[in-house]
Amino acid sequence: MGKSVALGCIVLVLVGVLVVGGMAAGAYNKLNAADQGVSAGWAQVENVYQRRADLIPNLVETVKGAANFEKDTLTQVIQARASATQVKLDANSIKDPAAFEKFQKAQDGLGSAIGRLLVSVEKYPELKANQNFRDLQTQLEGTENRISVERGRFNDLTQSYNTLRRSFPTVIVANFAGFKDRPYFKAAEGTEKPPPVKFN
Amino acid sequence: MLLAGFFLFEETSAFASGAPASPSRPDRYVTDLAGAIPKDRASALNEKLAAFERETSSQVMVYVDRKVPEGTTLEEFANRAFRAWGVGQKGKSNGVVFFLFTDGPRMRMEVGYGLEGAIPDARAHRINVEVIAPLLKAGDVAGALDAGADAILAAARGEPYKGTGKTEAERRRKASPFLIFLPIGFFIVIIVAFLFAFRAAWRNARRRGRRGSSSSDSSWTSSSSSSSGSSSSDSSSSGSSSDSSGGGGDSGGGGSSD
Repeated sequence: MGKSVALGCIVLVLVGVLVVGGMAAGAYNKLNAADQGVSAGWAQVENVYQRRADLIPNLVETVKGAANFEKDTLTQVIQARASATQVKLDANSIKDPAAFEKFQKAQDGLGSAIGRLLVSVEKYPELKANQNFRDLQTQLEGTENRISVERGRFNDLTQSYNTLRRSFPTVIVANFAGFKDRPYFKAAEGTEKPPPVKFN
Repeated sequence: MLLAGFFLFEETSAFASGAPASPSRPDRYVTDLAGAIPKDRASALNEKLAAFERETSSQVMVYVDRKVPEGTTLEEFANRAFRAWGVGQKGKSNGVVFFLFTDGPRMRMEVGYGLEGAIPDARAHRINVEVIAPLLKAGDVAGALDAGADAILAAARGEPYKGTGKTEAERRRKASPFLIFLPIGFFIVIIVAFLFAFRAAWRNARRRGRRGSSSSDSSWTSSSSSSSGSSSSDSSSSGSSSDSSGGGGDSGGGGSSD
Protein backbone atom coordinates (compact mmCIF):
# COMPACT_ATOMS: atom_id res chain seq x y z
CA MET A 1 0.00 0.00 0.00
CA GLY A 2 2.63 2.52 1.14
CA LYS A 3 4.86 1.49 -1.73
CA SER A 4 2.28 2.17 -4.42
CA VAL A 5 1.46 5.60 -2.93
CA ALA A 6 5.14 6.52 -3.08
CA LEU A 7 5.34 5.28 -6.65
CA GLY A 8 2.29 7.30 -7.58
CA CYS A 9 3.85 10.41 -6.06
CA ILE A 10 7.04 9.93 -8.04
CA VAL A 11 5.14 9.47 -11.30
CA LEU A 12 3.06 12.56 -10.55
CA VAL A 13 6.15 14.66 -9.87
CA LEU A 14 7.82 13.37 -13.04
CA VAL A 15 4.78 14.22 -15.11
CA GLY A 16 4.64 17.66 -13.50
CA VAL A 17 8.30 18.31 -14.26
CA LEU A 18 7.78 17.22 -17.87
CA VAL A 19 4.76 19.46 -18.34
CA VAL A 20 6.37 22.51 -16.76
CA GLY A 21 9.60 21.90 -18.64
CA GLY A 22 7.74 21.59 -21.91
CA MET A 23 5.87 24.80 -21.28
CA ALA A 24 9.08 26.61 -20.39
CA ALA A 25 10.76 25.36 -23.55
CA GLY A 26 7.78 26.47 -25.61
CA ALA A 27 7.81 29.92 -24.03
CA TYR A 28 11.53 30.21 -24.59
CA ASN A 29 11.21 29.29 -28.26
CA LYS A 30 8.43 31.79 -28.77
CA LEU A 31 10.46 34.53 -27.12
CA ASN A 32 13.44 33.65 -29.20
CA ALA A 33 11.44 33.78 -32.43
CA ALA A 34 9.98 37.17 -31.53
CA ASP A 35 13.42 38.45 -30.57
CA GLN A 36 14.86 37.33 -33.90
CA GLY A 37 11.94 39.02 -35.64
CA VAL A 38 12.84 42.33 -34.03
CA SER A 39 16.46 41.93 -35.08
CA ALA A 40 15.43 41.22 -38.66
CA GLY A 41 13.22 44.31 -38.57
CA TRP A 42 16.20 46.27 -37.37
CA ALA A 43 18.29 45.10 -40.32
CA GLN A 44 15.63 46.54 -42.63
CA VAL A 45 15.68 49.84 -40.76
CA GLU A 46 19.45 50.09 -41.11
CA ASN A 47 19.12 49.22 -44.77
CA VAL A 48 16.88 52.14 -45.57
CA TYR A 49 18.94 54.57 -43.52
CA GLN A 50 21.99 53.43 -45.44
CA ARG A 51 20.08 54.03 -48.65
CA ARG A 52 19.49 57.60 -47.61
CA ALA A 53 23.13 58.12 -46.64
CA ASP A 54 24.19 56.78 -50.05
CA LEU A 55 22.06 59.34 -51.87
CA ILE A 56 23.62 62.32 -50.16
CA PRO A 57 27.01 62.66 -51.92
CA ASN A 58 25.21 62.77 -55.25
CA LEU A 59 22.71 65.29 -53.93
CA VAL A 60 25.44 67.51 -52.53
CA GLU A 61 27.33 67.46 -55.83
CA THR A 62 24.24 68.34 -57.83
CA VAL A 63 23.25 71.18 -55.54
CA LYS A 64 26.79 72.49 -55.32
CA GLY A 65 26.97 72.96 -59.07
CA ALA A 66 23.79 74.99 -59.29
CA ALA A 67 23.51 76.74 -55.95
CA ASN A 68 26.92 77.62 -54.77
CA PHE A 69 25.55 80.13 -52.28
CA GLU A 70 24.16 77.55 -49.92
CA LYS A 71 27.57 76.61 -48.52
CA ASP A 72 26.40 76.57 -44.90
CA THR A 73 23.41 74.38 -45.55
CA LEU A 74 25.50 71.99 -47.61
CA THR A 75 28.18 71.74 -44.94
CA GLN A 76 25.52 70.99 -42.36
CA VAL A 77 24.19 68.14 -44.48
CA ILE A 78 27.67 66.71 -44.97
CA GLN A 79 28.43 66.90 -41.27
CA ALA A 80 25.11 65.41 -40.29
CA ARG A 81 25.69 62.54 -42.71
CA ALA A 82 29.14 61.93 -41.27
CA SER A 83 27.85 61.78 -37.71
CA ALA A 84 24.86 59.66 -38.67
CA THR A 85 26.99 57.06 -40.42
CA GLN A 86 29.37 56.98 -37.47
CA VAL A 87 26.70 55.80 -35.07
CA LYS A 88 26.44 52.15 -35.97
CA LEU A 89 24.38 49.72 -33.98
CA ASP A 90 24.73 45.97 -34.26
CA ALA A 91 22.02 43.51 -33.35
CA ASN A 92 23.10 43.46 -29.71
CA SER A 93 23.49 47.13 -28.95
CA ILE A 94 20.00 48.03 -30.20
CA LYS A 95 18.77 46.38 -27.02
CA ASP A 96 20.42 49.20 -25.11
CA PRO A 97 17.98 52.15 -24.92
CA ALA A 98 20.74 54.77 -24.57
CA ALA A 99 22.62 53.62 -27.68
CA PHE A 100 19.32 53.32 -29.51
CA GLU A 101 18.42 56.90 -28.67
CA LYS A 102 21.82 58.12 -29.84
CA PHE A 103 21.34 56.39 -33.17
CA GLN A 104 17.89 57.83 -33.59
CA LYS A 105 19.10 61.32 -32.73
CA ALA A 106 21.89 61.21 -35.31
CA GLN A 107 19.53 59.99 -38.03
CA ASP A 108 16.88 62.57 -37.16
CA GLY A 109 19.60 65.24 -37.32
CA LEU A 110 20.46 64.14 -40.84
CA GLY A 111 16.80 64.13 -41.78
CA SER A 112 16.27 67.70 -40.70
CA ALA A 113 19.50 68.88 -42.37
CA ILE A 114 18.26 67.41 -45.65
CA GLY A 115 14.91 69.06 -45.08
CA ARG A 116 16.56 72.47 -44.63
CA LEU A 117 18.59 71.98 -47.77
CA LEU A 118 15.54 71.11 -49.83
CA VAL A 119 13.76 74.20 -48.54
CA SER A 120 16.68 76.54 -49.29
CA VAL A 121 16.97 75.07 -52.76
CA GLU A 122 13.49 76.36 -53.60
CA LYS A 123 15.13 79.67 -54.43
CA TYR A 124 16.98 78.26 -57.44
CA PRO A 125 14.68 77.72 -60.40
CA GLU A 126 17.38 76.33 -62.66
CA LEU A 127 18.13 73.65 -60.09
CA LYS A 128 14.48 72.76 -59.77
CA ALA A 129 14.33 72.39 -63.54
CA ASN A 130 17.35 70.07 -63.52
CA GLN A 131 16.16 66.53 -64.27
CA ASN A 132 18.97 64.97 -62.27
CA PHE A 133 18.02 66.99 -59.23
CA ARG A 134 14.35 66.18 -59.63
CA ASP A 135 15.12 62.47 -59.77
CA LEU A 136 17.26 62.80 -56.67
CA GLN A 137 14.48 64.60 -54.90
CA THR A 138 12.04 61.81 -55.79
CA GLN A 139 14.48 59.24 -54.53
CA LEU A 140 14.91 61.13 -51.29
CA GLU A 141 11.15 61.33 -50.82
CA GLY A 142 10.88 57.63 -51.56
CA THR A 143 13.61 56.86 -49.09
CA GLU A 144 11.99 58.92 -46.36
CA ASN A 145 8.80 57.00 -47.00
CA ARG A 146 10.63 53.68 -46.78
CA ILE A 147 12.23 54.83 -43.55
CA SER A 148 8.87 55.56 -42.00
CA VAL A 149 7.50 52.22 -43.22
CA GLU A 150 10.40 50.23 -41.79
CA ARG A 151 10.36 52.17 -38.55
CA GLY A 152 6.67 51.44 -38.21
CA ARG A 153 7.22 47.73 -38.83
CA PHE A 154 10.10 47.67 -36.40
CA ASN A 155 7.86 49.22 -33.75
CA ASP A 156 5.12 46.67 -34.46
CA LEU A 157 7.58 43.80 -34.09
CA THR A 158 9.02 45.34 -30.94
CA GLN A 159 5.57 45.76 -29.51
CA SER A 160 4.60 42.14 -30.06
CA TYR A 161 7.92 41.03 -28.58
CA ASN A 162 7.53 43.24 -25.51
CA THR A 163 3.92 42.13 -25.04
CA LEU A 164 4.96 38.51 -25.20
CA ARG A 165 7.87 39.13 -22.83
CA ARG A 166 5.60 40.65 -20.22
CA SER A 167 2.65 38.26 -20.50
CA PHE A 168 2.21 35.95 -17.60
CA PRO A 169 3.70 32.53 -17.83
CA THR A 170 6.29 33.70 -20.35
CA VAL A 171 7.62 36.48 -18.16
CA ILE A 172 9.09 33.94 -15.73
CA VAL A 173 11.08 32.27 -18.49
CA ALA A 174 12.02 35.69 -19.91
CA ASN A 175 13.41 36.92 -16.62
CA PHE A 176 15.20 33.66 -16.02
CA ALA A 177 16.78 33.61 -19.51
CA GLY A 178 17.60 37.32 -19.50
CA PHE A 179 15.22 38.59 -22.19
CA LYS A 180 14.85 42.38 -21.78
CA ASP A 181 12.32 44.87 -23.09
CA ARG A 182 13.41 46.41 -26.37
CA PRO A 183 13.27 50.14 -27.15
CA TYR A 184 10.91 51.72 -29.68
CA PHE A 185 11.42 54.45 -32.24
CA LYS A 186 9.89 57.68 -31.05
CA ALA A 187 8.67 60.54 -33.19
CA ALA A 188 11.51 62.94 -33.94
CA GLU A 189 11.97 65.76 -31.45
CA GLY A 190 9.94 68.83 -32.30
CA THR A 191 7.43 66.97 -34.46
CA GLU A 192 4.90 66.82 -31.62
CA LYS A 193 4.04 70.46 -32.25
CA PRO A 194 3.04 71.51 -35.77
CA PRO A 195 5.55 73.77 -37.54
CA PRO A 196 4.65 77.46 -37.75
CA VAL A 197 3.47 78.44 -41.21
CA LYS A 198 4.68 81.78 -42.51
CA PHE A 199 3.59 83.50 -45.67
CA ASN A 200 5.88 86.20 -46.88
CA MET B 1 -7.50 25.26 -15.06
CA LEU B 2 -6.22 28.61 -13.91
CA LEU B 3 -3.27 28.33 -16.25
CA ALA B 4 -5.56 27.57 -19.15
CA GLY B 5 -7.31 30.85 -18.42
CA PHE B 6 -4.03 32.68 -18.62
CA PHE B 7 -3.16 31.10 -21.93
CA LEU B 8 -6.44 32.23 -23.37
CA PHE B 9 -5.63 35.78 -22.36
CA GLU B 10 -2.25 35.54 -23.92
CA GLU B 11 -3.70 34.64 -27.27
CA THR B 12 -6.10 37.56 -27.30
CA SER B 13 -3.53 40.23 -26.53
CA ALA B 14 -3.78 41.72 -29.98
CA PHE B 15 -2.40 45.19 -30.33
CA ALA B 16 -3.90 48.18 -32.06
CA SER B 17 -1.63 49.95 -34.50
CA GLY B 18 -3.53 53.21 -34.54
CA ALA B 19 -4.29 53.38 -38.25
CA PRO B 20 -7.68 52.16 -39.51
CA ALA B 21 -7.80 48.68 -40.99
CA SER B 22 -7.13 48.25 -44.69
CA PRO B 23 -10.08 47.39 -46.93
CA SER B 24 -10.33 43.71 -47.77
CA ARG B 25 -8.61 42.59 -50.93
CA PRO B 26 -10.56 43.42 -54.07
CA ASP B 27 -11.25 40.32 -56.15
CA ARG B 28 -10.67 42.17 -59.41
CA TYR B 29 -7.60 43.90 -60.76
CA VAL B 30 -9.52 47.13 -61.25
CA THR B 31 -11.59 48.50 -58.39
CA ASP B 32 -13.57 51.67 -58.94
CA LEU B 33 -15.39 52.75 -55.80
CA ALA B 34 -15.75 56.31 -57.05
CA GLY B 35 -17.62 55.41 -60.24
CA ALA B 36 -15.01 57.35 -62.17
CA ILE B 37 -14.65 55.09 -65.19
CA PRO B 38 -17.20 53.39 -67.46
CA LYS B 39 -17.85 49.70 -66.77
CA ASP B 40 -16.65 48.47 -70.15
CA ARG B 41 -13.38 50.38 -69.91
CA ALA B 42 -12.84 48.98 -66.41
CA SER B 43 -13.40 45.39 -67.49
CA ALA B 44 -11.19 45.83 -70.55
CA LEU B 45 -8.40 47.09 -68.30
CA ASN B 46 -9.10 44.26 -65.87
CA GLU B 47 -8.68 41.76 -68.70
CA LYS B 48 -5.41 43.35 -69.76
CA LEU B 49 -3.99 43.13 -66.24
CA ALA B 50 -5.11 39.52 -65.89
CA ALA B 51 -3.36 38.68 -69.15
CA PHE B 52 -0.24 40.36 -67.82
CA GLU B 53 -0.26 38.16 -64.74
CA ARG B 54 -0.71 35.05 -66.88
CA GLU B 55 2.28 36.11 -68.93
CA THR B 56 4.67 37.39 -66.29
CA SER B 57 3.17 36.41 -62.90
CA SER B 58 3.46 40.07 -61.89
CA GLN B 59 0.26 41.52 -60.46
CA VAL B 60 -0.69 45.07 -61.32
CA MET B 61 -3.83 46.45 -59.68
CA VAL B 62 -5.75 49.71 -59.89
CA TYR B 63 -7.74 51.08 -56.97
CA VAL B 64 -9.93 54.16 -57.34
CA ASP B 65 -11.86 55.76 -54.52
CA ARG B 66 -13.10 59.23 -53.64
CA LYS B 67 -10.81 60.12 -50.77
CA VAL B 68 -8.19 58.73 -48.45
CA PRO B 69 -9.84 57.29 -45.31
CA GLU B 70 -9.77 59.45 -42.18
CA GLY B 71 -6.95 58.92 -39.74
CA THR B 72 -4.33 57.79 -42.20
CA THR B 73 -2.13 59.26 -44.90
CA LEU B 74 -2.02 58.38 -48.56
CA GLU B 75 1.37 56.71 -48.19
CA GLU B 76 0.44 54.76 -45.09
CA PHE B 77 -2.88 53.63 -46.53
CA ALA B 78 -1.22 52.48 -49.74
CA ASN B 79 1.54 50.55 -48.04
CA ARG B 80 -0.73 48.86 -45.52
CA ALA B 81 -3.25 47.90 -48.17
CA PHE B 82 -0.52 46.50 -50.41
CA ARG B 83 0.81 44.41 -47.59
CA ALA B 84 -2.61 43.24 -46.40
CA TRP B 85 -3.58 42.21 -49.93
CA GLY B 86 -0.29 40.45 -50.56
CA VAL B 87 0.00 41.80 -54.08
CA GLY B 88 2.44 39.84 -56.25
CA GLN B 89 3.67 36.29 -55.92
CA LYS B 90 4.89 35.02 -52.60
CA GLY B 91 8.64 35.27 -52.30
CA LYS B 92 8.86 37.52 -55.36
CA SER B 93 6.67 40.42 -54.26
CA ASN B 94 6.28 41.39 -57.90
CA GLY B 95 3.24 43.59 -57.60
CA VAL B 96 2.20 47.17 -58.21
CA VAL B 97 -0.94 48.92 -57.02
CA PHE B 98 -1.92 52.25 -58.45
CA PHE B 99 -4.11 54.20 -56.04
CA LEU B 100 -6.17 57.13 -57.26
CA PHE B 101 -8.34 59.26 -55.00
CA THR B 102 -10.51 61.43 -57.20
CA ASP B 103 -11.17 64.16 -54.62
CA GLY B 104 -7.96 66.05 -54.85
CA PRO B 105 -6.96 64.27 -56.95
CA ARG B 106 -4.22 62.38 -55.19
CA MET B 107 -2.43 59.31 -56.40
CA ARG B 108 0.23 56.89 -55.37
CA MET B 109 1.94 54.04 -57.12
CA GLU B 110 2.96 51.45 -54.55
CA VAL B 111 5.66 49.12 -55.86
CA GLY B 112 6.50 45.75 -54.30
CA TYR B 113 10.06 44.77 -53.40
CA GLY B 114 10.37 42.54 -56.44
CA LEU B 115 9.69 45.32 -58.94
CA GLU B 116 11.69 48.10 -57.34
CA GLY B 117 14.52 47.35 -59.73
CA ALA B 118 12.34 47.80 -62.80
CA ILE B 119 10.24 50.63 -61.38
CA PRO B 120 12.44 52.71 -59.08
CA ASP B 121 10.90 55.75 -57.44
CA ALA B 122 12.05 58.13 -60.14
CA ARG B 123 10.41 56.04 -62.85
CA ALA B 124 7.20 55.74 -60.86
CA HIS B 125 7.22 59.46 -60.33
CA ARG B 126 7.64 60.14 -64.02
CA ILE B 127 4.77 57.85 -64.92
CA ASN B 128 2.61 59.67 -62.38
CA VAL B 129 3.60 63.14 -63.49
CA GLU B 130 4.17 62.75 -67.21
CA VAL B 131 1.69 60.06 -68.24
CA ILE B 132 -1.18 60.04 -65.78
CA ALA B 133 -1.46 63.57 -64.41
CA PRO B 134 -1.97 65.38 -67.77
CA LEU B 135 -4.85 63.08 -68.74
CA LEU B 136 -6.40 63.41 -65.30
CA LYS B 137 -6.17 67.14 -65.60
CA ALA B 138 -7.98 66.91 -68.92
CA GLY B 139 -10.75 64.99 -67.14
CA ASP B 140 -10.12 61.67 -68.86
CA VAL B 141 -9.86 59.31 -65.88
CA ALA B 142 -10.29 56.10 -67.87
CA GLY B 143 -7.70 57.24 -70.41
CA ALA B 144 -5.30 58.17 -67.59
CA LEU B 145 -5.62 54.74 -66.00
CA ASP B 146 -5.23 52.99 -69.36
CA ALA B 147 -2.13 54.95 -70.29
CA GLY B 148 -0.75 54.64 -66.76
CA ALA B 149 -1.28 50.87 -66.77
CA ASP B 150 0.46 50.60 -70.14
CA ALA B 151 3.43 52.54 -68.80
CA ILE B 152 3.57 50.39 -65.66
CA LEU B 153 3.37 47.16 -67.66
CA ALA B 154 6.10 48.36 -70.00
CA ALA B 155 8.31 49.23 -67.05
CA ALA B 156 7.54 45.99 -65.19
CA ARG B 157 8.64 43.93 -68.18
CA GLY B 158 12.14 45.11 -67.34
CA GLU B 159 12.20 42.42 -64.68
CA PRO B 160 12.42 38.91 -66.17
CA TYR B 161 9.55 37.24 -64.32
CA LYS B 162 7.86 34.34 -66.03
CA GLY B 163 4.19 33.58 -65.79
CA THR B 164 2.58 30.16 -65.58
CA GLY B 165 -0.17 30.93 -68.06
CA LYS B 166 -2.59 31.20 -65.16
CA THR B 167 -3.42 33.88 -62.66
CA GLU B 168 -3.20 33.15 -58.95
CA ALA B 169 -7.01 33.18 -58.79
CA GLU B 170 -7.31 30.63 -61.58
CA ARG B 171 -4.81 28.34 -59.91
CA ARG B 172 -6.64 28.53 -56.59
CA ARG B 173 -10.00 27.95 -58.20
CA LYS B 174 -8.68 24.75 -59.64
CA ALA B 175 -7.28 23.52 -56.37
CA SER B 176 -10.14 24.54 -54.12
CA PRO B 177 -12.80 21.79 -54.66
CA PHE B 178 -10.30 19.17 -53.62
CA LEU B 179 -9.10 21.17 -50.63
CA ILE B 180 -12.63 21.84 -49.44
CA PHE B 181 -14.09 18.38 -49.95
CA LEU B 182 -11.19 16.38 -48.62
CA PRO B 183 -11.78 17.24 -44.94
CA ILE B 184 -15.56 17.08 -45.33
CA GLY B 185 -15.41 13.62 -46.87
CA PHE B 186 -13.03 12.48 -44.19
CA PHE B 187 -15.34 13.80 -41.49
CA ILE B 188 -18.35 12.00 -42.94
CA VAL B 189 -16.46 8.71 -43.08
CA ILE B 190 -15.49 9.02 -39.44
CA ILE B 191 -19.01 9.85 -38.31
CA VAL B 192 -20.50 6.93 -40.22
CA ALA B 193 -17.90 4.62 -38.74
CA PHE B 194 -18.78 5.84 -35.26
CA LEU B 195 -22.48 5.32 -35.86
CA PHE B 196 -21.91 1.73 -36.90
CA ALA B 197 -19.65 1.12 -33.95
CA PHE B 198 -22.16 2.53 -31.49
CA ARG B 199 -24.98 0.52 -32.98
CA ALA B 200 -22.95 -2.64 -32.72
CA ALA B 201 -21.93 -1.91 -29.15
CA TRP B 202 -25.50 -1.15 -28.16
CA ARG B 203 -26.80 -4.36 -29.70
CA ASN B 204 -24.10 -6.35 -28.00
CA ALA B 205 -24.95 -4.85 -24.65
CA ARG B 206 -28.65 -5.61 -25.08
CA ARG B 207 -28.00 -9.14 -26.14
CA ARG B 208 -25.66 -9.69 -23.23
CA GLY B 209 -28.28 -8.35 -20.86
CA ARG B 210 -30.86 -10.80 -22.22
CA ARG B 211 -28.93 -14.04 -22.30
CA GLY B 212 -25.77 -13.62 -20.34
CA SER B 213 -22.53 -13.72 -22.31
CA SER B 214 -22.79 -14.99 -25.95
CA SER B 215 -19.73 -13.09 -27.14
CA SER B 216 -18.67 -11.80 -30.53
CA ASP B 217 -21.25 -10.82 -33.03
CA SER B 218 -18.72 -9.22 -35.36
CA SER B 219 -20.98 -6.57 -36.72
CA TRP B 220 -17.91 -4.29 -36.61
CA THR B 221 -17.64 -4.45 -40.34
CA SER B 222 -19.14 -1.10 -41.31
CA SER B 223 -16.87 1.74 -42.39
CA SER B 224 -16.60 0.94 -46.09
CA SER B 225 -19.14 3.68 -46.68
CA SER B 226 -17.01 5.81 -48.95
CA SER B 227 -19.03 8.98 -49.65
CA SER B 228 -16.04 10.80 -51.12
CA GLY B 229 -16.75 14.46 -51.83
CA SER B 230 -18.17 13.55 -55.25
CA SER B 231 -15.86 15.70 -57.31
CA SER B 232 -18.09 18.77 -57.51
CA SER B 233 -20.15 19.57 -60.58
CA ASP B 234 -17.72 20.00 -63.45
CA SER B 235 -15.73 23.06 -64.45
CA SER B 236 -17.23 26.31 -63.00
CA SER B 237 -13.86 27.88 -63.55
CA SER B 238 -12.85 29.83 -66.62
CA GLY B 239 -15.67 32.32 -66.43
CA SER B 240 -15.26 35.29 -68.69
CA SER B 241 -14.44 37.72 -65.89
CA SER B 242 -10.90 37.50 -64.56
CA ASP B 243 -10.55 37.59 -60.82
CA SER B 244 -7.48 38.42 -58.86
CA SER B 245 -6.03 36.69 -55.80
CA GLY B 246 -3.09 37.73 -53.68
CA GLY B 247 0.03 35.63 -53.68
CA GLY B 248 1.62 37.14 -50.57
CA GLY B 249 3.86 39.89 -51.89
CA ASP B 250 5.25 42.71 -49.77
CA SER B 251 6.29 46.29 -50.28
CA GLY B 252 8.62 48.40 -48.21
CA GLY B 253 7.09 51.65 -49.37
CA GLY B 254 8.65 51.86 -52.80
CA GLY B 255 6.94 53.88 -55.50
CA SER B 256 5.87 57.46 -55.66
CA SER B 257 3.05 59.77 -54.73
CA ASP B 258 1.95 62.64 -56.90
